[in-house]
Amino acid sequence: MSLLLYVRLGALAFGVLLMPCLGAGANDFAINLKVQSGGHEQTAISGQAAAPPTFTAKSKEVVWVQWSAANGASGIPLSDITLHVFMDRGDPRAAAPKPGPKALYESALIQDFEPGAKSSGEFRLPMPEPGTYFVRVETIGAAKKLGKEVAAVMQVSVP
Amino acid sequence: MRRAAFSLLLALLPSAARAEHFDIKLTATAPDGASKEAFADQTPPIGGLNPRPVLRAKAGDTIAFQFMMTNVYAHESARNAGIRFYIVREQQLGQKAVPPLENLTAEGSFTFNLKPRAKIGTKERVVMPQPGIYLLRVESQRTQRDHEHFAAIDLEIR
Repeated sequence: MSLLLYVRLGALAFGVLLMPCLGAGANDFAINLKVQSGGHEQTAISGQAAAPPTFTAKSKEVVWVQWSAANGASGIPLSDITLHVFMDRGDPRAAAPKPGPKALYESALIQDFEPGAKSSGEFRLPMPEPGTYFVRVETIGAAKKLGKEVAAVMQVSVP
Repeated sequence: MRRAAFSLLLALLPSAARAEHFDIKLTATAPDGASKEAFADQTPPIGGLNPRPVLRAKAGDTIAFQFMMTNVYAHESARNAGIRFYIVREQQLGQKAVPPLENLTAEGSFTFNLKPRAKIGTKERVVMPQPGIYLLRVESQRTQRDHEHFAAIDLEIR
């Protein structure tokens, strides 16, 4: 059962219509992602890096993941945007990565982003066994007005 | 395939409709498949009205939990509303008072403009490192009402 599908279905079930308005830029909508533990931190910002930055953590170490998504003051109103966040094993550079059934974390919330609106979230959890993980924060539904979805991604390496 | 999943999920919605302004369905599952569910309660009073289910597991087990919250008010919004969830040690099963939120096993939160019919969902897998009694709780915050809603499950880790 997909959590994301469940949340998205909610929007559809309540009969909200999304009005396409392609052509507007996504520059006013930004996602910031920060991962920290053990006194160091790494930040990823949507649209700024070709390759995801890497954060290194120890096994069993608690990492603190924070994100925020904001529509600029001059941004266009966005309705029923799903903000989808997940942390899973794998390569963050994979095309259209999706969380697997054993993802460490996944959340989704549906929100309107009026100009200047912002939302944020965070979670803390201990990293499991060594491996390559990634955190991805992405919009679903923004492309209808922005012409593309917005995402921030970070690799988390546990040597 | 995707539409089939949608239909299946829609069928689940009525089972969660048990609260006043927030529907909550919280589920925790142990590796042996044992699972407990909790639904929306409210505070005050401290600790709410409903007895908490207890999920039993072993130290080192990975507990998978998931919650889905729905703002069932069709016309009211709340700016800067929040949701918080955590796993914290408690002294005894079913205790009413929420323990100090220190040395949390897991935690997370959201801050957002709560719109009518908004849905928020999270699932997470957490290794329970040590034996003890724990409280798994998800709660609304800053919804501009005289009470908040929560759902909670006790975890007894042996």
